[in-house]
Amino acid sequence: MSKKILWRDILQSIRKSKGRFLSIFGLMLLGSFALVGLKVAGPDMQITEANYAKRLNAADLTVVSNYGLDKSDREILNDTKGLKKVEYGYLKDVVVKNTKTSFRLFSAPKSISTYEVKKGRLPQHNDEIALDYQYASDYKVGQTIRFSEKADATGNKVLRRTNFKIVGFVYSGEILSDVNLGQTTAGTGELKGYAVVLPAVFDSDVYMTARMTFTNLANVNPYTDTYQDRLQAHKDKLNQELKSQPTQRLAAIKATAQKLVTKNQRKLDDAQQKLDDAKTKLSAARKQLDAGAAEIKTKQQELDTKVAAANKKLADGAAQLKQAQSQLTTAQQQLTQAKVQLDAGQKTLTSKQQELAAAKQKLQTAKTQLDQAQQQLTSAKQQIATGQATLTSKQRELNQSKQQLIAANQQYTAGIAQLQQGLAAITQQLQTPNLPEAQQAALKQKQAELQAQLQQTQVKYADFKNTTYNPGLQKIAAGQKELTANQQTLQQKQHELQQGQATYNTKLATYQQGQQQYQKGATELAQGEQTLAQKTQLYQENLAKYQAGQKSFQQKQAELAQGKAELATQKANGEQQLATARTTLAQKESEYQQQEQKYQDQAPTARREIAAGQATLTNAKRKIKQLTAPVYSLNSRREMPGGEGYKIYTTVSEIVAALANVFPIFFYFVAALVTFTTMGRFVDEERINSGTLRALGYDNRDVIRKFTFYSFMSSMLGTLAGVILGHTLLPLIIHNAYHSGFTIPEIELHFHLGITLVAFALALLSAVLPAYIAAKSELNASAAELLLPKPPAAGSKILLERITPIWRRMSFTHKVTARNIFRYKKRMLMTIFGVAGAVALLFTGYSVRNSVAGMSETQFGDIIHYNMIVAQNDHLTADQKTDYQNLLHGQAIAQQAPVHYEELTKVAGANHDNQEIKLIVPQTTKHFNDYIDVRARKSHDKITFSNDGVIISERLSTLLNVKVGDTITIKDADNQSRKIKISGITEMYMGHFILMNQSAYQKFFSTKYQTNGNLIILKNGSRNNTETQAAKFMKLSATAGVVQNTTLTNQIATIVKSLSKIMMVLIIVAALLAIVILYNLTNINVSERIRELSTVKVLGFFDNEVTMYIYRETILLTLIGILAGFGIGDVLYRYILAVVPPDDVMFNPALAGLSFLRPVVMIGLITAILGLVVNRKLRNIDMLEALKSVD
Amino acid sequence: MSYIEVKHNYKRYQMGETEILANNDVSFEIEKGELAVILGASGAGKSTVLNILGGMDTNSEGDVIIDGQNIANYNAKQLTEYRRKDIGFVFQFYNLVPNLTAKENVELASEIVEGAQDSAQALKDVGLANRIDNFPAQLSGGEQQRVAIARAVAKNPKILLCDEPTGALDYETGKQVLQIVQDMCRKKGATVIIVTHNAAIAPIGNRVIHLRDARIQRVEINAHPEEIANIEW
Ligand SMILES: Nc1ncnc2c1ncn2[C@@H]1O[C@H](COP(=O)(O)OP(=O)(O)O)[C@@H](O)[C@H]1O
Ligand SMILES: [Mg+2]
Repeated sequence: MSKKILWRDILQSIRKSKGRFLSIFGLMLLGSFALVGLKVAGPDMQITEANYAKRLNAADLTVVSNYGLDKSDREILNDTKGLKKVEYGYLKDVVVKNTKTSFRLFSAPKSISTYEVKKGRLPQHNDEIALDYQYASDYKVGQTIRFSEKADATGNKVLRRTNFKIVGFVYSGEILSDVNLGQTTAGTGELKGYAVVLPAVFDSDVYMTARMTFTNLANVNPYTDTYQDRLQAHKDKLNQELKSQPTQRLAAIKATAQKLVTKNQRKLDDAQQKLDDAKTKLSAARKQLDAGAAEIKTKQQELDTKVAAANKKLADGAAQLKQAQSQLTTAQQQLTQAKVQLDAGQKTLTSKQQELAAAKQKLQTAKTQLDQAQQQLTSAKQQIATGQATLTSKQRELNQSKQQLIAANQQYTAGIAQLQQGLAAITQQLQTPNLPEAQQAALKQKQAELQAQLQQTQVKYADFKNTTYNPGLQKIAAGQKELTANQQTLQQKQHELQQGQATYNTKLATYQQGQQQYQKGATELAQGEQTLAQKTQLYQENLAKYQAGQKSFQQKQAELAQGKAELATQKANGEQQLATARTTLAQKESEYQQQEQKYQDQAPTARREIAAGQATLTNAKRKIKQLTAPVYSLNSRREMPGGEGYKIYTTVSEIVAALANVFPIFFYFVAALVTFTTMGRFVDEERINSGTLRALGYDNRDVIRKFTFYSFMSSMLGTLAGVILGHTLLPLIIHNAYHSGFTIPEIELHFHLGITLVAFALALLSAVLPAYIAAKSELNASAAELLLPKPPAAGSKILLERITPIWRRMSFTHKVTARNIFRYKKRMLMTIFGVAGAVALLFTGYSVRNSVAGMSETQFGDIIHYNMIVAQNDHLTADQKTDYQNLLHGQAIAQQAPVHYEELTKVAGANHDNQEIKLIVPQTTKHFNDYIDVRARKSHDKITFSNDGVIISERLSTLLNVKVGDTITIKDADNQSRKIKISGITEMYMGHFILMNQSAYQKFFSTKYQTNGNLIILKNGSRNNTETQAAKFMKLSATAGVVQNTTLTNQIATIVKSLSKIMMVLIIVAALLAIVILYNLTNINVSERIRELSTVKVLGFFDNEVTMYIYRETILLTLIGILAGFGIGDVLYRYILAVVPPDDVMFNPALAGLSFLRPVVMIGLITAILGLVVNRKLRNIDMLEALKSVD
Repeated sequence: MSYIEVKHNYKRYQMGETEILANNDVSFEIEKGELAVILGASGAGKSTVLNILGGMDTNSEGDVIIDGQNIANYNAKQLTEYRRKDIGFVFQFYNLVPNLTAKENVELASEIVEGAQDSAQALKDVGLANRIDNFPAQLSGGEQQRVAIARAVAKNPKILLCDEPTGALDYETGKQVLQIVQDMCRKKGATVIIVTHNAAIAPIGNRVIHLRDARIQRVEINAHPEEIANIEW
């Protein structure tokens, strides 16, 4: 039977339903694209890298020790079991001269971890270098590049030369990133490039690194568990082998160093001793010389003094002699004179003796005369006394008489005066006028009486005077005269007596004087005699003296002469000796001067040398003391220094792989469901056609073939397109997302048969199988039945209807919608699933994008405020400390906090990688939030430090699956295990942190707290300035390292970028899926219900009403689908958050409003646009056509 | 002026090269309240005329004046509005919405106009008081057609158009349906047009329009239409 008609019918049906065909094609395309793309991109990335690594024979394991690898180490490494090859190499971090661009110089390897030459060639001579290809635009082949090497802590440099001629540009098989090459000790602390030179350029006793490859890893994909497990086994084994090395190496190094130190110390001591000896000798010589000079001086002085003394003595002696001579002369004269005097004295004495005898006679005469005179005088005196007594009595008689006379006289005169007075008074009274007569008369009488009396008296008185008074007075005057004459005589006699007495007295005095004179003379004489005797004796003595003096004089004169002679000899002698001594001294002095000069010339240098030597030695000694055991680290490609690129690359590939496990399943599920429905509908629609075919004589298989072929064609074509795009487009998009940060070659597009087969199998399963099943079940009916229209799905009461209160309240249109929704249950589920799937994907896509997008901002805007951590070396000198402090308190720095900083490690995560953890123990937790905002993620509540617990970053807690109160064990910088208890979990997105206060540190680390670094906030936190400041710190010998935030940021940026792009692709795919699903379902809905719609239209529904009649269901289902989508999306998102982020990165699980809004808007937009399409379609529908027949 | 005036109505279909004339210069009038029957063989162009009259289709030429309005000049929206307000349709294959109950099917039409009859009453009027909540699948053909008629008359249309209302029904049921339609005309005063190829039905009309090969053959005015019960086929 000709199948021509059948084929024509098939092609006809395809042509008739392009929309459906394309829908299935599209669904399958999207599903297989997402599945294959995601499943292939990760492996492609990994294969690309693995091939690259294989080509360059990248080391499986890199062994590094901070003391290098010595012979003993190499013996162990060489003997490693299963080792394919081991190669040792040197490396050194330097900066390009006068810049802060750091380079790592590697010694060119022979066969392991070789370089890919991108331009030029590898170095062949010691002065040649091949640079990181990254710098191909900055340098040219042939150009010279100059580096400066910073001496290490012990002052050693490793490079024999620092200027090289560039001969080529290369890419390393180990350092895969050109944005994050890891940490360095040069430049800014971040490695900026690498270069290769010949091993001979390095001057080092030990190798710095050992690169190892293993036989059983040679052909194993490094991204497989097999590889990981085997490598881990090698690692464990080797770790075991190397276990005792640190102690032994330390001991050996210490011993060697100690020996050297001791040797050098001895040398130094010798030199010092020599110097000291020379000095001692010199100063002894000096002392001797000075003593000699002093002695000479003293001796000269002595001599001089002696001579002078002697001279003086001689002079004295001479003078004395002279004096003695003159004395002698004088004495002689005196003696002569004395002799004369003595003689004269004798004579005088004799005369005096005679004189005295005469005087004695005279005196005796005078005595006799005197006695006579005295007798005369005494008699005269008696006569005078008698005469005086007589006179005196006579005088007294006279005076008596006279007084009597005078008294009488006075009596008279007084009486007269009285009477005269009375008279005068009466006269006066009489003269008074008016005086009575009686009185006048009385008065006149009285006057008369008185007058009479007066006359009487006056007569008596005159008598008296004449008779008595006047004669008495004359008699008295005569007696007075006589008396006076007698008196005069007596006075004369008296006078004579007095004269006689005076004469006597004079004569007596003269006598007494004579007497005295005599006595005196006698005494004098006696005296004179005595004196003379004395003088004579004296004379005799003096004479004897003189003679003795004369004798001694002569003797002394002789002595003097002799002394003079002696002195002259002695003086000459002394002078002679002194002159000799002086000559010797001068000679010695000059010798000394010579030595001294020599000493002065050489000593400073020697001293300086010794001091320098000593300083070096002290330093060395201290260093030896501080030496800690070397740490051996065995690093996989991911873990090795500079392996950050590898790590990020792996992370990106793993992210893709992780996504591949979730998204495509979803896609396919949804796509398959929709295809299933579509095919079912197709079979339904073709019912009559099928019946006709059957009626025409085609058998069931033919009819089934029609449907299977249709679905096969559409799904296979779609899948084919999806598989092709999945193998190419998605890997390329992902490559495009990450490649800028990596030096790995363009992604290799490999054909992956497995997943391709899966895709096709899924296509068969989701498109062909349902078509077959639907057709088969349909064809169970007879041809006649088939020719009859399929009875429309019977209406039935829906659940909602039974809830009368609700149902009654619903508007008619809503009732219709509700009923329709439940009438087409399959389609309802399809729509909900489809929309939910698309929304879930969109939601997840946007949420992931959102959670990574703000990561850097949150991390470095809200949480981490410091710009860098500077770590100091241990045991700094005062100078180093000062330099460090100066920089620390310099202009550029806004704020800094001293901390204890340490890099801890902990094996965790799916790959069992060593996680690097930053331990920060602030000196004070007071303003610590200025540097790191220690807070809970959700509430933003500040977390306080505890004295017996630590705060760990959130990612670390999720990685270790621990919570507050748990205890974890970590390894400190010296590989010591420490148990710590968790008291808080802080929000942190990049890197692991452990924060604690001093008490907690001392508790958990049993170590005394000491700061060794600083958190620094710069005034200008720009990247450029941060690097500049970091370089400044790195230049200091006090600085051990600088940790900048940029390192992490770079790393994250690559991941975020890649993830964002992948998510964007998925979002687009999800959106397309949503369009296809909604379009398809709407289409089915419309075509299935065209009769109903026509009826409604005929009934006078406006176009919008007709559209809404059917589309209200779609909208409602879409809304339900969106809600469900959020639910599923949340699960999906959580899964991605759990699986995708790298070990040291936390995606912010917070959901953003936009992540909800965007899918709603997108789906809303798609629904609205599809609504318009439906509206248009319904407007143009021929309602009559639909109503005409029963089909 | 008649209630319905069709003047020189043409309907042409372009089928590739050839042009099919479904209505060729069709002109007729129908008075308000009449029961008109359009009679003609299959393919004569009856449905075409009816569809044009009902605003479901547009003519190629000519005027269609309904109650003074020439609907031939209406645009799609005006036509929809016209259908919504003024026209009730009854189809040969009922065209009920299978997912809606009888009552809901009636409401589907009555909900969109003002002053519609109570849907339950409408169903009662067609004798389906006790089948209100039945789904079409639960009803017989005649019952379904009665629901269709209830749906058509519930909104009190000016004109009730029935295209082969009995075509899918057996004789008895067909008569019942016709009776209801006639009752609508007589009792409610609706203008009714029935299209049929069954000449036996023609006597029930006030006016019978004969169509043949797209043309009006003749128009009979029947002063005394036959009772339904009296006709037979
Ligand atoms: N949509 C159409 N396309 C082409 N020709 C049509 C269309 N509708 C009807 N016709 C033709 O118009 C003529 C009249 O059809 P119709 O009015 O349905 O006839 P009746 O209802 O009287 O049986 C028929 O010959 C038919 O073939
Ligand atoms: Mg017809």
